[in-house]
Amino acid sequence: MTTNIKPRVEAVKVLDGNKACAYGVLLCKPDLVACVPITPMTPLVEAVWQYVADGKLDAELVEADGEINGLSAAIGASAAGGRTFVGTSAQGLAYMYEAYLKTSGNRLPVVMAIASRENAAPDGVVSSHQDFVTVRDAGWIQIVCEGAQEVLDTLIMAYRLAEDPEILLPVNVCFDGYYLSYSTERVELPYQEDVDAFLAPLANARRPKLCLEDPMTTPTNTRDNVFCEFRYKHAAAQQKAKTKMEAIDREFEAAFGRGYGGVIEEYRSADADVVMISMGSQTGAIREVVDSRRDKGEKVGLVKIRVLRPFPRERLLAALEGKKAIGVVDRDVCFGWQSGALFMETKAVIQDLSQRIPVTGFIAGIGGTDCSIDMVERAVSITQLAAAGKPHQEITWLNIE
Amino acid sequence: MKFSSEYEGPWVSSRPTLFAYPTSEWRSRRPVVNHAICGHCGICFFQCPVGSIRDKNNYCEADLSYCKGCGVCAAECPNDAITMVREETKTLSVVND
Repeated sequence: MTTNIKPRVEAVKVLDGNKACAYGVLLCKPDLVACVPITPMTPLVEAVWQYVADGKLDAELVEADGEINGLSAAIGASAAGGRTFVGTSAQGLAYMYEAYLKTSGNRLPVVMAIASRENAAPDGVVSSHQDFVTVRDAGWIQIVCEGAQEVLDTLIMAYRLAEDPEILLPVNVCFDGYYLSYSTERVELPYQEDVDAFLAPLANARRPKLCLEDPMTTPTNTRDNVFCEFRYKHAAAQQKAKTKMEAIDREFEAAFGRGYGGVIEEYRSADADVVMISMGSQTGAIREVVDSRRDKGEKVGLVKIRVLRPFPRERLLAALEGKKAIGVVDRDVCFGWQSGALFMETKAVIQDLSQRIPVTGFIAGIGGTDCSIDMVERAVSITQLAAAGKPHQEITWLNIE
Repeated sequence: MKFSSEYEGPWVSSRPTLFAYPTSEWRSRRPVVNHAICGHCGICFFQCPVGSIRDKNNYCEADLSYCKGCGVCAAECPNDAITMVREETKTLSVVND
C-alpha cells in the first residue's frame, strides 16, 4: 500500500524522548490514555495530560491507581474497539505483568511506550534495557528506538502495525530511559493531516469488539485444541509482523522522508568482515566507532536490531552471511547465559549460516552507565581478535573487566 | 491447518458461550417467583450476573440450567416477588428458549 503523502515538515523542535513520544501520542489520537507516572517517563505523562487539558487531544484519561489497573483499563477500551496508549517503565511494567500477558493473548492492539530502566533489585532507578528484555517472550511486538525522532516516528508506525487486521497484537515502543527519555535532540514534527492520512487505512480495519449490537465474549475460557489454535495464530501473527513492519517502514519513508530499515538497520555492514550488533541508544556510540575504524581502513559494520519481537531472524541471517566475526553489545543481562539477550538470540540465528563464525558478547551500559566510545573500541578489538582466529574472551562485561 | 474459530484471538459470540454448558450444578438455593406479584419490570433481567432470567410475557423467571443461585434477583426485586429456596433434590432443567 502507498499513500499520497508528500514528505514535509511542519516544524523542527528540540525535544527529549518523552516529549517526542507524547507528540506522537497527540498525532495518533488515542481514545483512552492510561498511565501511572514513573521515572524516567513521568514528563511523557505530564505532556499527554497537558494536551488533554489544553483541548488538543480528545482522549479519556485514566489516572490509574497502579500500572496493572492502567493496562487493564486499556484492555477494556481496546476490546471495545478504541485506540489506546499506555506508558510505563521497569517496576511499572513488572506490576502490570498479568495484564501484559492478557493484552497479547487476547490480541488487543494496545500501544505502550516503555522508557526502559533497570529492574529492581538491586534498587537502582537507572537506565538499561532490562525491563523490556525480561518480558520479550510475553507475546507483544517490541520495537526498540535509537533516537527521539525515531520514537515519534515509531509510535505512528506502531499503531499501523498493531491495529492491522492481520496482526492485532499489542506493540511496545521501547526507548532508553534517561539516555533517550531525558536527552534533547532535533525532532521534525509531521503535519497532523499527514499522520491522519497514514493511519487512515485503519478506519476500515475490522476487528471483533465488545458492543451491544452483537454481544461478544473475550477472553473465552479456552482449552485443548482451541487453545492450541489461538496460540498458533498468535505465533503466526508475530511472524507476519516482520514483513508487515518492513512494508509499513517503507511506506512511512515514502510519506515522511524518514525510514529505519524495517526490522533491522544495516550500517556499513555490506562489505564488513566484523559486524557489531546492537539495539537502542548505544547504537549511536557504535556508529561512531564504525566510522572511525572505517577511516583507518578496517572493515567494520553495524546491524541495529530494531524489532526485538518478533526476532528478525531472516534479515539478520542475510546480513551476517560471509562475515568473519560478530560482536554483540547488550545493555541487558540474560540470566542463565552469563551474557546479554541479543547474544543468546544471535547465537541461535547463526546456526543457519553456511559457515561457522565466532560471536563475542559484551555487556555495557547497564546500571545507568554510559556505553562509551572506549568500551565499544574494546568490544570491536576483541571481536577482531575472534575474526583473526586468535584467543579471546567470549563474553566481556565492559564496565567491570 | 484446520481452524475451528473464525477469529484471530479468543473471541466468540456471547450467547452460545454463556449458554453452552449447564452451569448450575453448585447451586444451593434457587429463586422461586411468585407470578401473582411479579410486576414484570425486568429489573431482575438486567441485574442477573449471568443473564439467566427469561421473559415469560407477563412475568420473569430464572432459567435454572444456568442460574447459580446467587440471589441478586431476589435482593433487587422491588415487589419482593422472588424467594430463595434451599435446594433439597436438584434436577437440571432443560434449555427452553
